Amino acid sequence: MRLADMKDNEEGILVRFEDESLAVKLMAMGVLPGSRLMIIRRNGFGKTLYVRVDQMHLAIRKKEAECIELK
Amino acid sequence: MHRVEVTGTGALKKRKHQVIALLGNPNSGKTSVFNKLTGLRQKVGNFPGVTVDIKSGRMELQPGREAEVLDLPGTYSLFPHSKDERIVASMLCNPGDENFPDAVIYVANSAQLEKHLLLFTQLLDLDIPLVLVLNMADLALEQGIRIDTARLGREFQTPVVSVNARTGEGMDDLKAKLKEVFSQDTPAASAKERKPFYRLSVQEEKAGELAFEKTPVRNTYQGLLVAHHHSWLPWLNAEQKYSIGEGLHELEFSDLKLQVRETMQRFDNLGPLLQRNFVRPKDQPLSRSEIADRVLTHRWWGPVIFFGIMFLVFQAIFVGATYPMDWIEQGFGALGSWIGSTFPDSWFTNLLVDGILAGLGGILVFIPQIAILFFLISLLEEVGYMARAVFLFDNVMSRFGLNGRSIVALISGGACAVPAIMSTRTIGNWKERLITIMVTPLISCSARIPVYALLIGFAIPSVQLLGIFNLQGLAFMGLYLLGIFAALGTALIFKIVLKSEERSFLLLELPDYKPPQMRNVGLTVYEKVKTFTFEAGKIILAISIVLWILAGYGPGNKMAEAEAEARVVAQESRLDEAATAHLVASRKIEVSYAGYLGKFIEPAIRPLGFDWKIGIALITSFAAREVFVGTMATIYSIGSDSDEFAIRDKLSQERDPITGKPVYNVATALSLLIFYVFAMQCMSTIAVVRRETRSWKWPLIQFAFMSGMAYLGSLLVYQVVSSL
Repeated sequence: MRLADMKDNEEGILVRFEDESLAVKLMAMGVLPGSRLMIIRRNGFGKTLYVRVDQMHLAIRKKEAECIELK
Repeated sequence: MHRVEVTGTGALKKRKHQVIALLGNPNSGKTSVFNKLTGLRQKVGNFPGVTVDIKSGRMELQPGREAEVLDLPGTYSLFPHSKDERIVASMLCNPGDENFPDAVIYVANSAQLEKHLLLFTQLLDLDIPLVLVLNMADLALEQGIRIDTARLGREFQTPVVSVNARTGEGMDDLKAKLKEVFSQDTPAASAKERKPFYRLSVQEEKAGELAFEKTPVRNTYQGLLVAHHHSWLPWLNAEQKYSIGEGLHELEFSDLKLQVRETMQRFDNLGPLLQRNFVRPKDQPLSRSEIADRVLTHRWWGPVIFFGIMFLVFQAIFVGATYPMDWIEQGFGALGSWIGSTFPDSWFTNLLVDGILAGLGGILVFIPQIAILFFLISLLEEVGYMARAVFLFDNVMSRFGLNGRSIVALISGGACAVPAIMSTRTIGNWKERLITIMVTPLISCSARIPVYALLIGFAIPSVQLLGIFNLQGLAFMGLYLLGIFAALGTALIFKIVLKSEERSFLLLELPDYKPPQMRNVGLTVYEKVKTFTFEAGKIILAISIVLWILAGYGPGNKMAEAEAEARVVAQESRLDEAATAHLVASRKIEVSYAGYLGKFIEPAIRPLGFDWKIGIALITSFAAREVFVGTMATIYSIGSDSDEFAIRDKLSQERDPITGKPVYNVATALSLLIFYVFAMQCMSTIAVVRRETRSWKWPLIQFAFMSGMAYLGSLLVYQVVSSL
């Protein structure tokens, strides 16, 4: 299931990325396979996401969240 | 190998000091460590071709021996995603770089250690002597995190210090460790014995060797980085790029796949190491920042609170800066008249008073606004709130090619474009930052208010509409809205026109809220004021002197003749002293270079409804928009300090010598209003754009498109209104 399709406050474990260039960026920030991800809040008509990644918080766009595959 | 050593020593001989680079992820508190190490002994370094400011400072290693400390941009890895990160990557894979560090202080956030060590492990493999600083030790302790610093150091074969840069705890330890690193005869030697943290695959090994042969890199991993980045590294020549590219093609080198693999591998290697030395308690309470963000980033409350804060910032600039600005203006005015009355009237006294002093006053008058804005903005940045603003406004702003942070610049632009443009420094994406810089001056700033007031009073009748709205007030609002729409529309055009290799994305860490460190805030304010005064200041001073020559001098002895003539006229009509002086000033500016320029451009501005007198005011008000009012007063010989009502009366009496019709009708005034909404009539903005983009290209483009918009807008309005 893609992160973008998850319900808010529902946790998932990252399995893989759909986009390599985005993967390099996200992994450098510590968003790794095995990380626990959860959308906390959606703003801007659902286009901007407030995401908890393990103990860290990130702001990403829906477009980016569509490239993150969870289980 | 031989070539390598020559380059290495050559680079070392050139510089007087050891160079220590500070590196770390954004939000690691790197700048606090930098400020603690160097204090006020810092300056903005000069890095050719670099548009971000890299601060450098001095610290004492031993008595009499100083090292230069570089505060490099916050970076996640040596696979760069932004222009800033590229600077770091390029510098660190080029041992010949004049700033290639002799040692690196790597700053990591203790509370996020699992995520903050990727770049550190890459540096390990570059064989650069390192000190690992675990910052925010207090925060980690508060969360119940335990770190075995000594053992971590042994396992990394690198000195590790726990530090709290807020209180200064552990800083002495850090300095001692740095001294140790430098006291070894060959610091690199100890680093070389380390076994590589990341094991290169055969393919990577070959790619690294390839770059090692073609470029002066020091080891295979550095070679691998060059292989990854060969297409854009600025220090490679075309031949090197070509041959590395060919070699990699043969190896079927796929950089993205390999970067993913390497990153993954590094985190995998870090895992067990951290498990042994880093313990995080199992069930942690919900972070306080997350709770606060329920309100602060709430869909509705978030923007409401943000605009509330911005309103306070705006008020603070407006109200807080008014008094010091008045003092500066009055002080310079008093100093000017004192010099004028004390020293004999000569070109030098005039230059001093009307050229240099006016210019200096014009520079200093911005300082209160800059100081107040940056005090508040860096306070919000320190607390961690700015990242939330990006979250709130990313969606809206990105549609216009702007960044969530741009909204701060656009709002501050309502007070003054100069500090607003300086505030774009925190926008990481270069294209988004550039667009913000380009469109901010279109937002109506406070300097436009006197011009708007004068002309609206002239053109728009003061009548009530529907009993509540004043037509003049509506016109005022209309002009502000016009500026906002122009800014957004122009941003949209720039978004389409400007090519960018940086893909637009949003990956922003929302750091935990923390109390601000006033030391960092103070240093930011100091640095902003200093850069503005000295770097933008010299351009402002130069333009101010040119404008003084244009307005104060004329060809041949025309001015002297005009003055003599004016005095005769004054005597004949028995004018008093003040009126005589006004008449003389008026006649003199007519025959000044500015006067001739005004007449010269008259054919061009005729279709806008402007005559040569307005032309003069347009030229002189390039210094600052509010000068328009003063110049019009001078031209109509009513004294430049008279109020707008006097000027308004005078303007309405002015008749065209040929047709006998009023020169200033509603159409002219509206046309002028539109002109001032759009035109880049501000030398200080130009100076600051030149400073922030580090080139004349962008301020000139900006000047051209804003003047173009002003011309076309005024043309349209004048032609339409006067034909009605």
